Amino acid sequence: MATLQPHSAWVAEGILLLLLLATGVIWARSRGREAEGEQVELKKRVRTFWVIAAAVLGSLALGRGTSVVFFSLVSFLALREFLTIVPLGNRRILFVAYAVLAVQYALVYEEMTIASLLFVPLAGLVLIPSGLVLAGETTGFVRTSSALVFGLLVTVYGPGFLPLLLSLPRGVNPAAGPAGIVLLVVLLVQLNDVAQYLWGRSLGRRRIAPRVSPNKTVAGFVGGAFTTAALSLAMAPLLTSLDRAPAAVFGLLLAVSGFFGDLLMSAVKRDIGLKDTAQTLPGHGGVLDRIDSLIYAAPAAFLGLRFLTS
Amino acid sequence: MAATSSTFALHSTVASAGRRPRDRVSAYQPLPSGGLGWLRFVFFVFVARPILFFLMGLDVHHRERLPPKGPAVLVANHNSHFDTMALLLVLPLATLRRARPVAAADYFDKPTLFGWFVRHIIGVVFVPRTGARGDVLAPIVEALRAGDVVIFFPEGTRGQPGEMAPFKSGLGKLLERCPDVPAIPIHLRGVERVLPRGAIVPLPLVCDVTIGEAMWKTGDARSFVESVRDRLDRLARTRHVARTSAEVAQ
Repeated sequence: MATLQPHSAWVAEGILLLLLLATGVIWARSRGREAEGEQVELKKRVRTFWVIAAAVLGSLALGRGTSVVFFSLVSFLALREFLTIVPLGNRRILFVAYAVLAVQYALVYEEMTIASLLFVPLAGLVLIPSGLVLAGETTGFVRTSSALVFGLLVTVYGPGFLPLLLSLPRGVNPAAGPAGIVLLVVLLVQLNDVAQYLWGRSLGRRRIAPRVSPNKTVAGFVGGAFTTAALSLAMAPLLTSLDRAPAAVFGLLLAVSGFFGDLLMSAVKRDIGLKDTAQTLPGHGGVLDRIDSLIYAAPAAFLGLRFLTS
Repeated sequence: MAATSSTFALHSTVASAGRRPRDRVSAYQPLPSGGLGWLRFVFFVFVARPILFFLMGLDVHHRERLPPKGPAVLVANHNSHFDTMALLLVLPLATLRRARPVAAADYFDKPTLFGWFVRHIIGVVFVPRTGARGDVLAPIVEALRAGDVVIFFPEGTRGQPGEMAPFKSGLGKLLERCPDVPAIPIHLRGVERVLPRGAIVPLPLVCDVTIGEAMWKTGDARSFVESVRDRLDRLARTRHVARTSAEVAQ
């Protein structure tokens, strides 16, 4: 059974310690009192983070194959939520969407990198519209085909770059293994969410997109981006082969792409009139809510490593 | 249409002339114990739940309102064969062991492997749908006396997708005889998209299961049934409000 390489293992232990600390603080603060309102949500949130951390770290430790299976499951749950909240007329074509997901992750599993880079966009161009044509579906043709292609890009193509990072020839630090890259990307994007929230809450005034997501402020965005860049500066050389300057750029890249992924899902939910895509993850909402910042960040990391490493 | 539906509609006890052979009042059969009981448990926990986990995402609202133990009647709207599965999935294990769906004898009680499975593993209580002689409610009353959790679809049929058909009065008559047993209204949404009437292959989607507060029989049978229906209607709406962005605008 495979295990994490030393540097990745340190970071994994660090994450677990951080969660332990958060759990301890919450436990100490709510001791003797009945938890209520925000406190209950926070508790649920942290408990769910334990599950997420166990799943991500566990699958990374078990090796590339397990990780691909795990990320395919995440994509599946996200696609299922998308197809639930965006009801589309033709039932049969939705099975095609799930088939596209299965094929895409099979390509990733088999490390057919070029095919996996091309498959989802091409399936969106060819398979989905042709399927609708064969089904004789003309009412809402444009709406159904575009919404499905959009759903596949958001839930399968974007997040699918994460397991693809495990097959990259570049950027791997031998002391951290390929898992180090995925660990770095996931951790930085999640911490960027937190940093943005904290900066926004303490200094934020000017809203960036008040109609889409009123919580997002300029101060939050800028503060978050610099915090993430600093964290990347400290951690990327440990976990990847990135040098110091490219590491900071990599952090900025993740912060910006994470931010726009987050806004993207906010806009989708705003359009439909929902707060969360589901309640699969107590305290977080649906799987799609949790991975929203990874939708753009995963492909950004893939491209970033391509151009920032030598 | 009605002949293909899954659950039962309660009619008065007078027999009609063209009675089919299977429309008899089935004798009450207790839940299997021993080996078969274990097989049932293993099937639900290790086969049904893992498979259904992929096919149906369940967003359960007010899980705490589920009865910790029987007897109880779970009352839900009905659009799909998967409705029963959704309800069996959300029950805690202790309640699941005592859970028994009520279903139409003419449709499900067959001398085949399927019939055996439905009777012993799913644990269905059979009731005749039309023209039965005698006390059609007796098997359900017996089950409730034994402390079972009975799953009951008062529409009596799966009806039109996403719509609630008129309720039959059987639920009221049943609880008239068991006034201490609570009825738990449960609203299901989205199951009809997973497996609509006539479909064979289920499509994986997320469903909402909204559980209401327990209700006890008051007034006459008909008005009680209507009040349960109102509660289910309200559950369908409250769920929607809780999810709109207006409420969580900040």
